[in-house]
Amino acid sequence: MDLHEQGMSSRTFVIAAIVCVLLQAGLAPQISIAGGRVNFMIILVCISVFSGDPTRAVVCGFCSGLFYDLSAAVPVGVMSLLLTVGSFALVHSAAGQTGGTPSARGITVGAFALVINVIYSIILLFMGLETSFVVAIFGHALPSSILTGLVAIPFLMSGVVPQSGYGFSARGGRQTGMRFKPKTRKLK
Amino acid sequence: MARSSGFSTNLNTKRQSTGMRPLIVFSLISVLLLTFYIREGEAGPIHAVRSGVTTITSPVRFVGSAVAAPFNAIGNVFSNLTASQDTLDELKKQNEELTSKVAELSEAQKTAERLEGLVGLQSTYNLKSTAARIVGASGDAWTSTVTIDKGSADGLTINMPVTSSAGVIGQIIEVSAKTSTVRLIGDENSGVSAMVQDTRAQGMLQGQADGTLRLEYVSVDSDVKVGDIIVTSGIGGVFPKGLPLGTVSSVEKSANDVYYTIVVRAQTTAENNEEVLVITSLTDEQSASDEDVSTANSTPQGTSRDAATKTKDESSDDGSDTSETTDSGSSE
Repeated sequence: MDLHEQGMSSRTFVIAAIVCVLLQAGLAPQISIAGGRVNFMIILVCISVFSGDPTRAVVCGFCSGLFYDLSAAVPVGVMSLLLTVGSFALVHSAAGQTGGTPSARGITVGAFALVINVIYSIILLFMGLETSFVVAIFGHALPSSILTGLVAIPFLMSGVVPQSGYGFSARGGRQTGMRFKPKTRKLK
Repeated sequence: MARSSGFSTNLNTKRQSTGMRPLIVFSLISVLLLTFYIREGEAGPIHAVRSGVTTITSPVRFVGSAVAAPFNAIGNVFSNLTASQDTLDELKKQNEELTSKVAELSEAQKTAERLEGLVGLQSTYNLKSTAARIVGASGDAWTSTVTIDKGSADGLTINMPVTSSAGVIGQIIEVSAKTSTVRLIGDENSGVSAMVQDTRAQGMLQGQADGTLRLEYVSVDSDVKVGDIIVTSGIGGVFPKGLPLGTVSSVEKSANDVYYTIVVRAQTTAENNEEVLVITSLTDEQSASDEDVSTANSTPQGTSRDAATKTKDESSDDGSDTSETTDSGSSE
C-alpha cells in the first residue's frame, strides 16, 4: 500500500500557469489598492503546492519568482529565492497538505503571501531600496498580501485545485480497482 | 517455501521525492542571479534577459492597459466621492486662485505671443523629445515606476528624462526594444537636482517612502516659503534646467537644523494612458553652464526674495517698485 496523491493533471496546471503569467504581466501593473498589488505568481505557487507534488512546487516556485523578478524593476533573484524556499516549506507544512474550503485555502494563500512579502520587504530594506520599515510592511506588504489572498479565492473555487490533497490507494497510480475510494473527485 | 496467496501488498519501495534537490539547486541559482545582478550595474546579461522578457510581455501589457483604462475613471470617481471636506475647501480655494491666475496668465500669454512674434522665439524649452504613452505601472508594490510604449528601437536609452505636459515625471531606468521603464520622481531611489524658482536656492528633490517629495539640502539661510515653485537646476546634467517639478507645500526648520525640511507637492502625476515626452538630448542652453555650476557652488542658498524681485523689476521697463507686495517670509 502506498500513499497516492490526488493531484491535478499536468494540463490543468499548465493552463493555470499560463493564466497567472498573463495576469501578472497584463493586469497586476494596472491594479493598485492602498499601496498593494496582486502577486499572481504567489497564487500560482500555492496552486502547485496544493497539488501535492513537492518537486513540482519547488520548480514552480523558482520559475514564478524568476518571472516576477524579470517582469518588474526589482532585483533579480530575490523573489525567486523566496518562492523556491517558501514553496518547499509550504508543501511540507500542514497548511499545504490538508484540504479545505476555497476560503480556507485563500487564507492560507494570504498568510503565505504575507510571509513572503514581509521577508521581501526586509530584504529590500537591507539592500537600501526601501527606507521605511513601516511603509514597506504596512504600506506595501500587508495590502499586497490581503489582495493576493482575496484574488486567490476565485482561482481556488474554479476547480484547478483538488478539494483535498491526499487519499489512500491500495495499488497506487491508477484509480481503477482500488478498495479505498479517494476523497477527492478526479480532475481532468 | 510456499508463497502466501490471496492477499498481496503492492508495496511501492520507490520513495517520493521531497523536493530537496531542486530546492538546493534553485536556491543556489537564485543567489547567483542576485549576485550577478548587483555586480553588473545598469547593463549586462541579466538586464538583457529582463529586456527580452519585457519585450515579449509588452503586448500583454498593452492589452491590460486598454482593458483597465475605463476602470481608472471609476477609481477617480470613488476617490472624489470619498474626498474630505478639507480637501473640498482646499480645492475651492485653489479654484478661486487659479481663476484669477488664468485671467492674469491669459493677459501675459497675449503679451508673450506678441513678444515671441517680435523676436522670433519658438518656445520656452525647445526640447528635443520623443512622444510616448504610459501603458502600465510597476508590477510590484515597492517601486514607483511606469512603463511607456517606446524603447531602444525608438532611440531611447537609460537615464533619459521623461516629462508630461505639466512637468517632470521621472527618468528611464530600463529599456527594451519596444518599451521602457520610467522611475517616477516620487520613488525612494529617485533624486533630481532642483532649485527654488524665485530665489535660486539649490537642493535635491528626493522621493520618500510615503510617496511624497522632499527638497533636501536647502540651507536654512535660503529664502523658501510655501507656494514656491521648484524647478530643475540642470546641474546634474540629465534634466534640462527650468522644468517644473512641483510646489512647496510645507517648510519646517528646527532649532539647530542646518537644512530646511521642505515637502513638495508634485506638479504632475503619471496616469495610465497619459502621453509623455522623453527628452532625447539637451542643447547647450538647456544644460547648466559652468557659470551656473559655479554660482550654485558659491551661493547654494540662492538670493533673497527681495533681491530677486528687484532684479526682475529692474529688467522690466516700468520700473515700478513692487517689493511691498512680495512676501519675504522665510519659513512657515
